[in-house]
Amino acid sequence: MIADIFTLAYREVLILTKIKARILGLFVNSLLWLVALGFGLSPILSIGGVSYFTFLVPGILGINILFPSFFGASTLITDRQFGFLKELLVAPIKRRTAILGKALGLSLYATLGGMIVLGISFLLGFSLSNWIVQVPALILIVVLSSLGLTCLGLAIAANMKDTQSFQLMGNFIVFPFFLLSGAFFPLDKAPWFIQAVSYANPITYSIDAMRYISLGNGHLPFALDIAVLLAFTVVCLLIATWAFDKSE
Amino acid sequence: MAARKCTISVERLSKKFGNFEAVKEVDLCVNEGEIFGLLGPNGAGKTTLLSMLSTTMHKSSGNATVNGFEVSQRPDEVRKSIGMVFQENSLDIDLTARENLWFHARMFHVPEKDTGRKINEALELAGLSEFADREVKKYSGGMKRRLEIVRALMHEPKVLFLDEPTLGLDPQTRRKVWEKIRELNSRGMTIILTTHYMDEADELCGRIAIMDRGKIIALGTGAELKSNLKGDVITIETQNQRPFLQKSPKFVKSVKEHDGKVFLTLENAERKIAKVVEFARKNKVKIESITVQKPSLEDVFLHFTGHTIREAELDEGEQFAARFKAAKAGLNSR
Repeated sequence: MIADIFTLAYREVLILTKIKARILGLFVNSLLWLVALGFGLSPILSIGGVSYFTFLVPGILGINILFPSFFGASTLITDRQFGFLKELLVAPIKRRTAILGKALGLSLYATLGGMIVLGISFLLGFSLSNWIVQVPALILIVVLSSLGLTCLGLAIAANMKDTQSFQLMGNFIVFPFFLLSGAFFPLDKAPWFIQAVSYANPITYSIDAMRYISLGNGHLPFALDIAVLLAFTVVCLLIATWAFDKSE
Repeated sequence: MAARKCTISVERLSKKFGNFEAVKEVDLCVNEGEIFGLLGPNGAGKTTLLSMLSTTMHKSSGNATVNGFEVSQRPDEVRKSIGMVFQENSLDIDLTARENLWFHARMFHVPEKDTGRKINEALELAGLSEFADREVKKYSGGMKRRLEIVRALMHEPKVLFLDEPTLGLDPQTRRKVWEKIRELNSRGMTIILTTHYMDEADELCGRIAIMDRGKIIALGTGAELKSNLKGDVITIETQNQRPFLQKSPKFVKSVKEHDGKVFLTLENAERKIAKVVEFARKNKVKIESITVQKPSLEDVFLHFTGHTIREAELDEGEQFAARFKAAKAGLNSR
């Protein structure tokens, strides 16, 4: 089963990396945010004793995976439309293996984008005191959050017949996740209604965990961040598996 | 039925989509080494039946066993022992032929040491060796079809399911696919195929089940099915038609005259033709031409269903309306 999951994941990555230009989509937008906001606001703004740029990098890492993770799930719909899903369904593997493989492949691809963004941040002046530990820790958080988001997407895509409705529906989910995640501003000073929505957003915890790892302080307990992320990922995984199992 | 050992055994198998019953209590036994055909118009339930047997669709009720494994209880075992070629594309069009085959080999757990060799063999068999590293989306319809078939064979299945294997292929490619199917069968593979081409069923299949509106309405070899009609036609072109019309031999069931020709309906025409000629000579009838026409499967379909395959397909709109009405009535009566 494990070997099957990796084969399936490999297929996803193979397809996604075939079109080289698509890789640009993994980080170009985030890079724009980082450069424009980071360099634009850093001269006038420092948060919690660090420059706005330094504050922003973990936030950008967090939102960078949102789009490829969630919208990557639309490949489940195209697999169905173009017929390849039938080949999967007639293979001697469990449906949950198929969905796990897809989720893993899509999140690894999204993680690739995260690594590119992190690499570029270093070039732009981001630094870590103990990167040998911090970089792998950051990547782990990226993989975990991305897996959860991918599964959320797959759960929704499992019973959808066309990608347009999926994109439309996705925007309603992804944009609040994007803006109200504490990526751009510290949540502890935000008005209560912003906080209320943000704390319902799993990406908030992902970004807080990454701030904790890279800056040494998040505003939530690190253990809580990890617990929420794990719970989010597991729940989404279960829902995605269930939804795919039920789909015809 | 249970006493015989069937490679595929189906008992009272049904599939319902809401109120519409796509497959209605079908019974079937496909023997080992057979090429078995499911013949019928679009919407007859052939693909649905095949999908249930290949475990890609859940059954509503009844039993189905493939290679000794019950489809809903041991779907993994069923899938391991079958190869499936779908009616519509199931290739990954973003990948190359080689990558598609590699993926299939991994999914079906072909031993890793054999994988490379098997991929090359499959490519060669499909005549795609020189296009192996081209993305499938750039392939022609025939190339895709061949790739689908060789892919389904990679894990050496005992049973091969082919859903409309030659749909949309040019005559030449069609012949090649037929040859391939016969060759596989001669090596002992059991093959079950659906088709709505009469000539394909006639040409390939040992036994044929005719399906219409979710039911198997006739089953047998092509010859057996045709013999049900009890009516070959001998057409005689002659100036002097009167003797045939007035005192035809006893074995002739009916005589019709039309456009300078006499049409005799009778059984086993090829055995009676000498007698017909003899009768003509005795009655001084000068035969200008004589032809014997055996009924086609199209005639068989017409005989059993009261409509031709083409009509059945044209009729689908009406059927839908009828189903809709029935469903509505069902709701109202509740």
